[in-house]
Amino acid sequence: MNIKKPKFRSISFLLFLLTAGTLISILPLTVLGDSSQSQSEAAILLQGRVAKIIPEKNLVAVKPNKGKRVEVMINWNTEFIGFTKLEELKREQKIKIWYLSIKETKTAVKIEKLLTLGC
Amino acid sequence: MFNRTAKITLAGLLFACWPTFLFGGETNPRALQDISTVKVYFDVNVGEANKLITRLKLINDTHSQLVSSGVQPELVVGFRGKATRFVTRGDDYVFTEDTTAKQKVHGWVQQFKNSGISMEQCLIAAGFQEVDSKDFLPEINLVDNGYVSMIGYQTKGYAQVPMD
Repeated sequence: MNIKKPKFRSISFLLFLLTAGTLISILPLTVLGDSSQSQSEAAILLQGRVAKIIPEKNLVAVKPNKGKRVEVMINWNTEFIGFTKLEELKREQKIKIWYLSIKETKTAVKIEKLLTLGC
Repeated sequence: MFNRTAKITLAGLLFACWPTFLFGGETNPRALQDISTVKVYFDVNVGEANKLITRLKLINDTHSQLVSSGVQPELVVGFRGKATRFVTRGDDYVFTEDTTAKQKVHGWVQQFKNSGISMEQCLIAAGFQEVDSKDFLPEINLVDNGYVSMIGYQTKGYAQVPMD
């Protein structure tokens, strides 16, 4: 009988493959970090007043005290604090908004409705 | 001599101006009788741009009418609430569409200064509106507490006029 011998006989070669495979699998996490942690670190915090709400476009425009107003998109994953839907926000309402800016699009991660005090 | 249209126009003008002829331009003769000086504190807190401009115009009209009635006015305009945002330098603190209105407010502030009207800004309100005290117009005096001002002026005999 002519039995073929296994191609990888060397134990050291197998160990090399195992090590290389492990390194390749953990490489993305090492270089880029955990994706959820990366999102929260990259989120930009903006505090200001609501300048405009367009519910049909899922868009809120925020005017900080200084500087130009910023338009941010809302999606299903945006967390609302102090309110339940976008329509509840009114013009002049003070808010804090955390958003991710990817290319030209700003997407809200979290919006907090702030207490409006007057005197 | 006169055609019909000119006669109607003249009659209309006379009708519109008859109170002026009757009272000699003084529209509050009873209220101002035997008064040579008035002291007034205007409490301005409205944050809606057009409404705020109207209020400031009314203050100016009031000042002019008091003067034309022969009364010496001592007026103080106190800013607080959302009006606070409009008495800061530049275009900050207001919505983009309100910047023109803000410039008009600045015009009234300058007019008040020229007319000898004192102006104050409450710093508690500034804190609530997150306005830096360095950003206010130089014509306006900053006070720690607008309520203390109102109390003080009223105690000194100033009439309190709400402008909300």
